[in-house]
Parts: sequence; structure tokens; C-alpha cells
Amino acid sequence: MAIHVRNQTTGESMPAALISVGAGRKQRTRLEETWRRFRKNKWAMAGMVLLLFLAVVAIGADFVAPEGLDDQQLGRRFLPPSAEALLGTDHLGRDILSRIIHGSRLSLSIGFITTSIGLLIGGGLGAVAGYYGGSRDQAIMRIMDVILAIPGFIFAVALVTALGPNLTNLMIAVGVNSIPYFARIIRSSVMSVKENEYIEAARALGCSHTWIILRHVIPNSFAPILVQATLRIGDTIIIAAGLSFLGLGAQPPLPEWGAMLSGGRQYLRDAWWMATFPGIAIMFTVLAFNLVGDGLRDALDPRLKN
Amino acid sequence: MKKCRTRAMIFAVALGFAVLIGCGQTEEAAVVESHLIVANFAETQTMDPRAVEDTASHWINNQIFDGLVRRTDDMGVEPALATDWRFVDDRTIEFSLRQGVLFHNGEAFTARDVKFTYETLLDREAGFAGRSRLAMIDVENIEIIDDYTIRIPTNEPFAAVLTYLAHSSSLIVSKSAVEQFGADFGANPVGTGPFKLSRWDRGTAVHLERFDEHWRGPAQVERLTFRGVPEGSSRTIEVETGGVHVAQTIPETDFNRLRDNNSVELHEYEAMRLHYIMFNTQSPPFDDVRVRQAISYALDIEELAEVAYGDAGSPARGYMNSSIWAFNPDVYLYPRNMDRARELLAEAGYADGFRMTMTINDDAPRQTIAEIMGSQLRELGIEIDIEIMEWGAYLQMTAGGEHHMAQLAWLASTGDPHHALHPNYFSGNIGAANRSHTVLPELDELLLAGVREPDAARREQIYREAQELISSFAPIIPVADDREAVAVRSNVTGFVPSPSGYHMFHEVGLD
Amino acid sequence: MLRYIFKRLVSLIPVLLGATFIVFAIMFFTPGDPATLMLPQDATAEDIAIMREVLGLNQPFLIQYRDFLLRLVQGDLGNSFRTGQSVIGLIMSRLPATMQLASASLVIAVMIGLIAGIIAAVRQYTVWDGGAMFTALLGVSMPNFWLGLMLILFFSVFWAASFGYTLLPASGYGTLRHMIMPAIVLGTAHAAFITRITRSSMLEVLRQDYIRMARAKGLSPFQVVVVHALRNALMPVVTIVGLRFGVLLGGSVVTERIFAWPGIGRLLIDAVRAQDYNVVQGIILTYAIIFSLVTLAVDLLYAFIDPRVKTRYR
Repeated sequence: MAIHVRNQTTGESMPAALISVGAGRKQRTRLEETWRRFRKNKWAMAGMVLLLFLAVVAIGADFVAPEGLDDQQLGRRFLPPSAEALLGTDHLGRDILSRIIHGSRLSLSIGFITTSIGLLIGGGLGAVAGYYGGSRDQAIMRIMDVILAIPGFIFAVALVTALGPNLTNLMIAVGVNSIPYFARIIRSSVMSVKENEYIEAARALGCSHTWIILRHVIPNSFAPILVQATLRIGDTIIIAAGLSFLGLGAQPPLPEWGAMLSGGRQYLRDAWWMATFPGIAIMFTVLAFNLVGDGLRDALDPRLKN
Repeated sequence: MKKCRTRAMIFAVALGFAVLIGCGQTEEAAVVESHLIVANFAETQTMDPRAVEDTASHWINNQIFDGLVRRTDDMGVEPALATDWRFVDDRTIEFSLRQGVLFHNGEAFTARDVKFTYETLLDREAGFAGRSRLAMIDVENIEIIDDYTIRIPTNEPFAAVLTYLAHSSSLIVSKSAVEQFGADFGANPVGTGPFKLSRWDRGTAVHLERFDEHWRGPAQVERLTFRGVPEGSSRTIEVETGGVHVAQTIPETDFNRLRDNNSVELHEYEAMRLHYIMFNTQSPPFDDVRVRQAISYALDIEELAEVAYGDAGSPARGYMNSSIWAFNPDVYLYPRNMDRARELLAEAGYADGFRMTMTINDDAPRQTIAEIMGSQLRELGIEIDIEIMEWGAYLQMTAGGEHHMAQLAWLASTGDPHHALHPNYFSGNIGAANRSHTVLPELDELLLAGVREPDAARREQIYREAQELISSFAPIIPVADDREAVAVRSNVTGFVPSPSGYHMFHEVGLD
Repeated sequence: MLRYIFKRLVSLIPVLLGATFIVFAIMFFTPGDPATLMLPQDATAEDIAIMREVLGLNQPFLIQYRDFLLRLVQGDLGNSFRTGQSVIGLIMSRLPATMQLASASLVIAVMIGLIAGIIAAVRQYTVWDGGAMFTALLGVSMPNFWLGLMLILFFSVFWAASFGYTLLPASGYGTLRHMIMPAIVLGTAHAAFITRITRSSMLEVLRQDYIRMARAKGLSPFQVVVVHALRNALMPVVTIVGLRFGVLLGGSVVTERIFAWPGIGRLLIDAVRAQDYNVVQGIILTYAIIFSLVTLAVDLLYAFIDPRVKTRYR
């Protein structure tokens, strides 16, 4: 069966595969070429700028945010957006803008860490399955099928409930959720790379399987993986926020965006800003990753660009 | 071939529309005379009163079934299926039953149904949730004297037995109907109450209809629907816009809005629940009474109650809910005093504070309290980590004593001080509801004396003393007495809220 | 063809069993237990122990799982711990609501997605294209529970505040009005995906020789686009609709919760939290079966839309 992924990009052998082993100079040109194409894409650049902005805000949160993440002032609860508190205050009189700024750290880390978990474990399994094929492939991919048969979000809910709701377990659950996703993508990438002559050449030269996978197969399936990972970060941020929304996420007083949104829900009629702004923050963050991901895909493989 | 393909596409699209439109036809509140619609805060689990332990289901079951006795609106006890009762000895009570009462299936109610109800409810193998509430009944020796006289003994003298028999777990089911439906009785309930089941849309609503042969005479309205509306603000909007006539458990953020609304009347009442913060009195540093007292002194209870519960709570006035009989308003409540708190901590050897975990379940006010405590106790050098657990795991870990501090509420739904104190502070209940793991031999004695004492005045004295003991031991920090509100459209007549939360609809009508 | 379907259905069995095993294991090792949750807060350790025994929860893991399988073979999913009702009955009473919501949102998503995608492709590089693609990207980037709250805010809360009645009810079930907001919330992300796929697939097709040919023959642009191009561009769209169905079901869990929709998604969340194993198992199994059948249907549709594929199934 064909491998289906959200953007239909995989299963294609990348032009990268045409470049033979260790051609450093050519690779640099390719990188430059990719960057040139990326830069020409207005949307992608907008996403990139947004992402850089978010990264700067997250890293410098302590300096950027007007207040701390838990500066309670019970004398000014439910202040609407105003000059004093740009995005208003919450039920404990905390500045929502400051909390969103501090929360950007959490959301970005959740995105990166969960995607890394999925990429490392799923990628490893996918590479083994795709490279060796046969019974190993069968065993790994059947297990992935089993996990995929359970709707991902529900699987994460059950897992967090079992592990106990907190930030670490949230990241584990969302990370595990991404494993089959990456396993499938990387398996198909590896399978297509594997057929190339230079792999056979390497094998004929007596290179070990591990060496071949790490040195030749993975680098040459790098492009689609990067694209999918970027897009996946956006998804994991949404899934994690969804879990937090159900009360299965970060411990208070951590300003996790999904948890802030969930906390604002009961005050929706009196303090609409409490639920509105964290949602907008989530939306723009995910949007940035999606723009960059799409841009990368087009830049890395111009044949797919329409 | 080509044509067939196009047709298939058209068919698929049409099917989609059909589904869309089809569900538009299922159920629009049809125009029926006197149809009262109620927004409940949860959907019904089952209509077998023996099997549930959730208040949303209990509420509905109270319309379908009757107990031997029932609570008055001021939480006394009055006759229902029993007309009269007397104590044969200090542990046996004899009930005279009402004659001529009919079940919804047309059969007559007799003592056999009472015996059957309690025998099945208390059967361990049956695994009914309500069993432990009536565990004091000596079920082996329930004795039918004749069709309309029954003797119910308790294992030990139990002064509060009537209030327990008035609880929703003790509603009487039809013997023949249970035997007929078996496990499906919960979907085919047969009781003696003013309403009988007409249709159950699972997950959405329970539709009841008037039972004309009800022993108190037919109810005012012909149809009564309970809709499950879990979201608080949705219940408010529904009652504001007339989608429902009655909305239970209004969120505190909407109290003011509804007070100002002319087409809705907001009935506020004191529920018999106390919200509190509790210590694990056996885990250091909280095994030292001075540490518990220090934290009691350090917190601003008024502020906690106001921010966390708002209109839905009033600052706690003692160590049990103040609307329960035998409440002691004179107990010492540890007013805010940071100097005293510092002194006590220093005496206990924690001058520099410590780090501890506050465990809560996923509940917004508890989370608010934990967060404010975190900032209020920082002054004393006490750092709080907040840990949120799922309800089941939370109950298990607090029962097992693996917590430092936690938060809970206790609803003494029988309105009896025994129910308010014994489960939480009797040392024999460690591992169950004594989640502060309090061990106080003098308190144990008082609590045992209280339940055996038949004289009301002496009982009151005993329970007042018990509350003073609890205050000095400080196993909990009381935060707020619960206040609830039911919003009722102004065209609804005869609605009287019950402190138990199980408001009755027999006499409620529609203009 | 029939043999192929049969083979696929048989190969489904181990996957479904695996899914139930994983879920059973997760539920089993979740702290807390159903017995505690069913009893009053003052239940004693003894009460809880008795309840555990009644429910069969004191059996070792593998025995419990074996019993589950034995029941499953007889077509029995057991009873809910919480209410004692049969799990199959519970699911059957709730499934129609979920299917209604899922199909309504799918219809909305397909309609919006196809139209927007076609317009974007035909008017490539115009404002239409840019606008459609950016909106689609926003749609994918939006958490659906947030969108739900915002819709409630506008159509129920603000509307009621300004006009004295609610335009759309914030929760409930039964009428078309109740369905509009949940269906939009659930359908938005999918509409966005379908827009993107339709666009790229259409662009690919529009470049083909036979389309140029059709244009050259003087067919009207509408005929070219809808009759010739769309049909051939549909395959990836159908694929994505099918494959996203699982995501759609997963998303319905949150949507159902926000709008108090009486489907199996809300039942599932409640059951997970009440540790009602049997109900959780039953619903996961239902989801997995639906998902797998949809995947199968997509594969079969391939053959239907693209006759070239059909030979493979012989």
C-alpha cells in the first residue's frame, strides 16, 4: 500500500539522492540554491520571521514580559485589555500578555521535544524497517498499524491519564503519538534511497549496515524528514494544547497556552480576553511552523511546487 | 459506466444532506401543554437508585421513586411510603406502610418491596454503589410483620437512621419490575413517584411523564424533561433564553447576571457542603500540630473564599458546614496572623520554611486556591508544588495517605452531624474518608457516643465538643460553605429549592 | 475483488486485537480504580475491596484480558462498571450522534474544500489563490476547541447580549441549529486540508496534455475544469478525506465535549476518566473498526475512480 502522509511529499526520491557520496561542494551549492528558492517565497519568509520573533520572545521572556508568570494582584482581577494590561488580566489579577510571553517557552519546547521524541524513536524504527525489510519490517510496521488504529488524540488522553497529568507526561504522550507517523515517513524514504546504486556500492565496499544507515541513508532522506518534522511541530503544539484544555497538561501556575485557554473558559462571558488571546498565540505559532514547513518543502523539491 | 459513476457521486452528496436534514427532524420541543424542561448539570447514568452515586442521577430518581421517609425542605424527616414509625428497641425501628400506593406498573406497594429493595441493595455480590451508605442496617433480620408493617434493625444503636433512610440511596424499587428487567432495570425504572419514565435519549435527556395514580395526587405538569447540560454557562444561557425552565447549579460568575434578570428568578440556598484544605496529619512536617496551625494562621480565608468561590460560597465559619444541625459557631478559626504563624513555624523548627506538594483534582476553584496559597505562603518560605491528579487516583492516594496537603469538599447529604464528622475524623475511617488521617482517641469516643445517643439535646452537646477538639487539632483549614443557585423562569410556580439539591417537581407548575 | 476485500478484513483482526491489548494495558496500569470511583467518598477499604471483587478487578492482568477476549468472541463487550448497562447498547445509543456530526462536518469540509481548491487552482497566483491558501493555512493552524469557544462567544454569548436571543445554541442536540457550530468546528481543519490537496492536484491535472487538448477542442472552461480536470484530480482528494477520517473522529472527542454533543467521543472521555475499562475498550474498538473500514473503502474507491488501479485487485 502506498504511504500516505499529509503533504504527499514522501515516497519520492529526492534530487539529493542523485548527488553522490560526500560531494561537499555540490551540497553547499544545493543548500544555497534551496535558500535562494526559500527566500523568494513571501509566505515562507513571513513564517520564518514570525518564528524567529517567537524564538527571541521565548528566549528573552524574562526581559520582554512586563511581569512575571505568576505575579498575582488580587486587587485587579478581570481587567479588560487596556494600557495597564495590554491583553487584560486573569482571575488572579495576572497580566495575560506576560503569561503568554512566558508560555511561549513552554509551547515551543513542547513542540520541539515531542517532535524529537517521535523523530528519534519513530525514525529509528522506520529506518530499520525500511532498510532491512522482511520480518523486521513486518513486525515494526504492524505495531505501528496497531497504534495508528487508535485515534491519536484519544491514545494521548489515555496515556496521560495513566501516567498522571503533568508537563513531562504530556510530552511523553504526544511524543509517543508521533512515533508511527515518523516511522512510516522515514521507512518509505529509506526504502527509496536504499535502491540507489551508491548504497549498493557502499555495501560492496564492505560498509556495515549501521554505517550505511547513518552515513548514507539518513542524510539522503533528510529533506522530506525536515519538512515533515517542521509541520509536525505545529500539530504537536495543537495536540498538547488540546490535552491541557481537558485538564491533562501542565501544572499550575505554569502558563501553558492550552491550560490558560481552558481556565478562561468558565469566564467566557465576563472576561472574553482570557480564552481568546492564548488561542490566538497558539494559532500564530502553529501558522509559523506550517508556513516554514510548506516553504521548505517547495524549496527543497521544486518539482512539487506548482 | 460513466453515468453510473456520476450517479454514485450525486447519491453520496445527497446522502450527506439527508443525514444533515434528517437530524433536524428528531426532536424539537413539541408543543405540549405543561411540559417543564430542566437543565441538569450532567446526564443520567442510570435510573436504578441503588446503583448510582452521582447527584445528577439521584435528582431524577427522586422524581421517579419514593423512600420510606423523605426530607422536608428544612432537612427534617416526614412520612412518605411509611406513614408512621416507632422504635421497638434501641436498634429496631418499626414502620407502618402507606396502603393503596401503586407502582407505575399498576401493582400495589407492600412490605415485600421494602425488604427486597434493602436486601438487594445491601447484597455484597450485587455491587451496588449505594450499599455502604446503609451499611448500618442489619439486613439479615429485616422482618415483615404483615403487608403493611415492617421492622428494620440496625447492627448497632444508630440515632440518625431516619435521615439515612431518607437519602436517595434508600428509594424503594418495585420487586416484580426488578425481577422482570434484571440488569436493565436502570433503563426501565418502576417506582411509586409522581413521574414515570417516558423516554430516555441516552446522553441527552430523560423524558418523564406524570403518573396519575401517584399517592399524593397527580403532579402539576404533564411532562418533565431533564436535559444534561454539563457546561455551566450554557445552562445559564439556556434559562435566560427560555430553552429550559429550570437550570440547576448556576456557575457563580452568572449569579449577578441572573439576579438582575426579570424573567428569571434565582433561588440561592446553602448546600450542606464544606470546602476545605486538608493536611496529612501523619506526614512530616504536618504531623506537628504547630505547623498545621501556622499555615492556618497564614492564610486569608476570606480572600480565598471570595476569589475561588465568589457568590457560590461564603467564608467558612467552623469545622463543618454551618447549615448542618449541631453546628458549633464558637470554635476557634485561626484568624490571619503572620507573626503568630512565623513563631509557630520557628518553634516547630521550620523557621526557613520548607517545600511541599499540594495535590488536587482537576477543579478550577481548587486550582485557584492552590495558586493563591502558593503566593501567600511564599512569605513564610514555604514553596508549594501543585500536582493535579485524576479523580480516581486522587481519592486512592489521599485514602492511602501519600499526600502532603490536598483539597476536598464534604457533602453531608443526610444533614446529620454524624454524617458530617464521623467519616472524616473517626480513626477507624483511615483508608476511607478520613483523608487527613486524623487519630484522636477522645474524638473517636465522642463520635461513637454521638451516634448512640438517642436524646437530641445531649447529641448536640457531644457534637459541639467534637468540633472544638477538631479545631485545636487543625487537621483541615475550612475555606467555604457551599452556596448553590437554581435559576427558574418566572412563569414557573411552586418551586422550592431543597438544601440537598434534589428539588422536587410534584408541586411545580407552569403558568 | 471480493476475495481482496475478504483478505483485507481478515488482516484487520490482528490490528484490532493489538489495539485492544494496548488500551487494556494502559487502562489496567492507570492509578486509581473503577471501584473507588463508583462508591461514595466515604467508602471503606473493605467496601472497595468487595466492589473490586464483584467487578473482577482483582484478577491478574492477563486473566482479565483473556476474559475480555472470551467475551469478545461471543460478541459481548461486557457491561459498563459505572452503570451496569451493556457496552454495546451504550455505544449503539451514542454512535448515531457521532456519525451525524462526522458526516455533517465532512460534507461541509468537502464542499468548502473542493470549491475553494478549484478556485485557487484555476485562478493560480491571484488574490483568490493567495486568500484561499492563507485561509486554509489558518484553518489548519487553529486549535478546534478554541474555534469552538470563539463561535460560542459570538453566536451565543455576544449575540444574546445584543439581541436578546441566541442565534445558535451553545450546546445540545436534536435540531439542525444545534449541529451548525459543532460541524463547523470539526470540519474547519479538514476543509483546509481538502482545499490544499484539491488545489495542488488540480494544478497537476490542468497541466496535462489532454486538458490542453480539451481546451483546444473549444470546450467551455467550466466543462474543462469540472468534467475533465476535476474527475481526474479527485483521487488524491478522496484519499485525504479517507485518511483524515481518523483525525476527524479523534477531533470529535473535544468538539463533542465543548458542545455537550451526546456522541461516543464524550462518552469515551468520561469513561477514560472513570476508568470504565469495558466502555473504553468498546469505543476504541468501534473507532478502530470505523477507521479501518474507511481506509478499505478509500482503497476500493481508488479502483472506482481510476480504472487503472483495478487490475491490482484481481
